[in-house]
Amino acid sequence: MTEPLLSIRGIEKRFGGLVALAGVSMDVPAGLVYGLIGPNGSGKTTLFNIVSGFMRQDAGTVTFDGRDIGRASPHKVARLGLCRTFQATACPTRMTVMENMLLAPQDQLGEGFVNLITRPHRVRSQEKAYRERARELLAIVNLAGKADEYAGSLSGGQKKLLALAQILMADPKLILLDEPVAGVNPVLAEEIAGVIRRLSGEGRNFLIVEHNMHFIRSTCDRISVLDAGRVIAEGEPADVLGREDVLRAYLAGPATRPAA
Amino acid sequence: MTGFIEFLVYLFTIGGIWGMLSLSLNVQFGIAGLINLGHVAFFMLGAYVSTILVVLNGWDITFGIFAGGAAAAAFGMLMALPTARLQQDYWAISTLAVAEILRIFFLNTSLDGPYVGQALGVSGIPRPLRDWFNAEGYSNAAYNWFFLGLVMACLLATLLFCLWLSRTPFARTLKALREDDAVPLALGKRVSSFRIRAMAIGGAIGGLAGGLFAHYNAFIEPEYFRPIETFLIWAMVILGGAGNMIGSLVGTLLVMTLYNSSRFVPGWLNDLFGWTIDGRVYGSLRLVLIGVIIILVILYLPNGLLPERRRKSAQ
Repeated sequence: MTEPLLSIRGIEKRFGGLVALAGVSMDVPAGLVYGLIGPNGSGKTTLFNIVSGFMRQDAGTVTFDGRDIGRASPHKVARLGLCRTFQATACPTRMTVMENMLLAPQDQLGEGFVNLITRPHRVRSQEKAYRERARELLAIVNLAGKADEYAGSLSGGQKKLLALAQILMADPKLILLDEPVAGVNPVLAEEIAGVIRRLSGEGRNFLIVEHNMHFIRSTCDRISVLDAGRVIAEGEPADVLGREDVLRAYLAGPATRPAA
Repeated sequence: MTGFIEFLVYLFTIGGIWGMLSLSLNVQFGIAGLINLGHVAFFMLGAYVSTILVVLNGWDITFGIFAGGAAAAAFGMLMALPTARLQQDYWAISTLAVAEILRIFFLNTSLDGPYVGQALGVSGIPRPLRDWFNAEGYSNAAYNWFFLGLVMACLLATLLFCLWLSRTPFARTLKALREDDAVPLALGKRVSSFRIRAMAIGGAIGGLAGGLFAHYNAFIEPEYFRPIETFLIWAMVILGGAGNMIGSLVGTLLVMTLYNSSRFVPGWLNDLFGWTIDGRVYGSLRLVLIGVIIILVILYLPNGLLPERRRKSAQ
């Protein structure tokens, strides 16, 4: 068996007296849409923040694509090919949709002064290539007509689509989506699910945190369930979502559950 | 009438120098979203470094002015370092303090013997090509026109540079930092490097403006570089429209005109109504006027007279 793309081992995180993650281990293989679910406060976003470098774990390791990224800063994690979206933070609102897209590519020549002055033609041709790619991706997420609108004028669902398209511009090896359909109307949620399935078919790897069970069932190949800082189940969505302990985690509060 | 024209030449020369200051703050605040309340520090450093090198070390004026710009750029990079650790608002307060510390440093440092530097300032700063103009027998007024031309050329070069800069991919990444670091970080941008470079660019332009000012005014003292000067620059940028370079120049023109022409108001009031106003009280009232303008603009024209332009993607 090949090594998993993302390997999380024994992650622990405490906020004062609160144990957010109590030794989480999971493997995300390449070639899948992997779902991470769990009730509110189970530690999903904390785990996301640790994996993407925005937060430091108290213990445990994260290995991505054969490299230890457990202590790497967010921009280094992104440069290694692991990019994430945010639950609430939207793309810069006072930039147009196209500017948001062009922001994403890494190693842009035009971000450095030496290149801007000594190789203006290279900068320009690179910009042109990025612009064409941005148009293709915007067409995939149905935002082609909005290229010159401010990102702040988009609807909530369109902002999520823009965040997804923006991440694709960065060409990452693994895409972490934090609640991609939260607060999005069902039609647009369906569309987002379709886009993710299509991209997965083209070889993109996803790790998705989401509450919408319908979305998880129709989109994910495999899921892990987090409850009170531990992984309590793992497997294919149809199996896992039918398990009694998973249902209990969602329907009952931690206090009414038997101790783990 | 000639007196009025001479006043206009003076006003536009000073206004041109301030235009460079407002453009450089616009790069830092309008594009990069850095709330720099110590912008006068660059102006001060450019003026002092150039003065020290030219007056005390005998450098050529041109080299002195550029060295002042370089020193201010380096100082800007230093000022940007804490942005990685401090939140925006706390960093803003620290910039205000840094500029005052620098002013107090110059206020307490004697540069060459007991009568140069400190509160006495430095006088007799050479003016570029002044000797040549004297030797050729040109008038004072002719020299002032020459200096106006020099300042306007520098202002034009600065404007073209800023317009070019704001269209680069570099500026696009800076614009992304205005709202939140999270998205640029998640896209792999080294945000501190971008902020440091934005402060260096704004600092360099501010330093060049300071050098020009020192060699125009021929005299500098720490009193010229009080925090109020930074707020005048802010008034220009906000009034003109943050993120719009032409707006900065419009804002500079309006604020300079209002601030400088308001000094004639007591005379008019005296002529018309026979009122006399205490000079010190009136000096404060002029500053109140600038404060009121900033408040009115923020309330009713939050994007300024010329709002930032939306960049259309070329079809």
